[in-house]
Amino acid sequence: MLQLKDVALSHREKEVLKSTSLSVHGGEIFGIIGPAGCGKSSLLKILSGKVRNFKGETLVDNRPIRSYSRRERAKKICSIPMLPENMDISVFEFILLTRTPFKKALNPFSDFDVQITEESMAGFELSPYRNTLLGELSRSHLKAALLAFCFARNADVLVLDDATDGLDLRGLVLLQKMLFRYVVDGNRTAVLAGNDINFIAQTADKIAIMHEGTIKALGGPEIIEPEIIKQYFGAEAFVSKNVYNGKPNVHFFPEG
Amino acid sequence: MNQERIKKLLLSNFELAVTLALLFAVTSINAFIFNIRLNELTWLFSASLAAGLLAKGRRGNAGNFNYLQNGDGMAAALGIIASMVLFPAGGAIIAGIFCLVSLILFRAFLLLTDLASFSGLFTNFSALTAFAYFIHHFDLSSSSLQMIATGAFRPMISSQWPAAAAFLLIAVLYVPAIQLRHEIALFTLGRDFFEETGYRYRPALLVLELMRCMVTAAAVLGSGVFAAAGMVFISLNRQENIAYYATAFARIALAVQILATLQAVSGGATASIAAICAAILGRYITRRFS
Repeated sequence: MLQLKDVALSHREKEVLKSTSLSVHGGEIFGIIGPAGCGKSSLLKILSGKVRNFKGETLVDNRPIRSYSRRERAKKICSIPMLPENMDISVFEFILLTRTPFKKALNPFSDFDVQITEESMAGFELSPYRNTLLGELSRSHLKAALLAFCFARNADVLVLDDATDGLDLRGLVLLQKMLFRYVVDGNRTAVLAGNDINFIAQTADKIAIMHEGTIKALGGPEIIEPEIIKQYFGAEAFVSKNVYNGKPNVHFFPEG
Repeated sequence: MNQERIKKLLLSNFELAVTLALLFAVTSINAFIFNIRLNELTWLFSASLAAGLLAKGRRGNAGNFNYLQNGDGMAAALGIIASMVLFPAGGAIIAGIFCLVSLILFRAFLLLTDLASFSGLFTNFSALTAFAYFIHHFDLSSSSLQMIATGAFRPMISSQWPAAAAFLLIAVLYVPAIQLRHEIALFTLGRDFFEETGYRYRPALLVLELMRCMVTAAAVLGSGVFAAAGMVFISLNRQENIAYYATAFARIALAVQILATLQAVSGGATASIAAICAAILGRYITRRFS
């Protein structure tokens, strides 16, 4: 379980995240949407423990995130990193490296590490590319490899910023399937943030809409309404319901 | 043990064989042509092997064996060449210590030049200076040819202890390099990945720099003219992804060979300036295009 208590963050004397409180429970997918620069990524950096100089308190399983050692935190929380600097590494070896926090230095990876890597690869249909170098993958497959890296950690909390960026339609379907399986089956927590409102609306159980460094609306996917889109995203939109699950689908009107 | 692991192991042994063959060729041809004594031969082979084996520890991370790209190797070579010029009877220990100091200074220098956006100007100035020096001091004699072919430090080696030190270097560097290959691979993915998995980046960077520095020193001492054969392996590596560590060793040795050649025909100062120049330029190009 994740808890933020009056968390705030400033960067170069500018308050990028104003006092924010929220709770994310086990077995829940939490989505964060908002226009660019609204503080989504800052919030996620705090949640993943990458930023420590924030005000307030972040609790993971009722324990302050600052009290976790680096290795403990890596076992507990996994966030999606930027693109790797080294792309001359095979897909399998790359994903396997996410298991490093679970192995002792100088020891090899365990059979379980290999197994979970294989499963994560298979989940994103990357098994045929097992020995392909990252630099030789398409953009969508590369993104899938990054996501598989996160899922293979098998951490309690998954923090995904811009997870859908670069994924093709099949990739989106697989990501959603993996998230449902990961969170529901394992009673774990996932926090998604990004610009793909429809994916987050279709996937998350609870959604926060952020604007100018603060949460403006919080609730189920049904909070996504044309007025909200107009007010915080500055776009005219029509919101329909997905015939499969009744969750909102946002359709934008062309301007001009 | 599954089939995949067996295949990987076999490939690894094949690559090791390729490296050993390359190193043996370099060593023995140098020995025959230039009449190297037994203790020198031992040293030459040991130092080369140390460099090759350390590179093996980073197998699978072909793009990030950064001796040439980030300038560390050049900086280390600069330190050793400078120490040889300043302390001709000093020996390898002085060279090693000097190379560490020069590496630290070089890092600081890069930081400063990056902040001041000064590196381009400095590179151009260094290149011009090196070229002027080269023209002014050009001297190609038989003794300088021998130095080019067998490595810049062969004249300094006259006892068995450097060979023993080389074996120690292998023991010290090879074991952790192989055992820590996953952590090193993680390091090559970048700071974001390394810290995301719970490690501290800066201490790891320092340790790796020290290891690189030591290996570069070994390569400098053990290089010969046939290191140029490594160019073949570079193209093979791109096509077949084989024997990366052999190419890594060859690249180091080749870079050092160029410096040794410069030193032999145009003096230590030219080689030193060229080392700085290449290091800065390499860094600059990597940052621009990577």
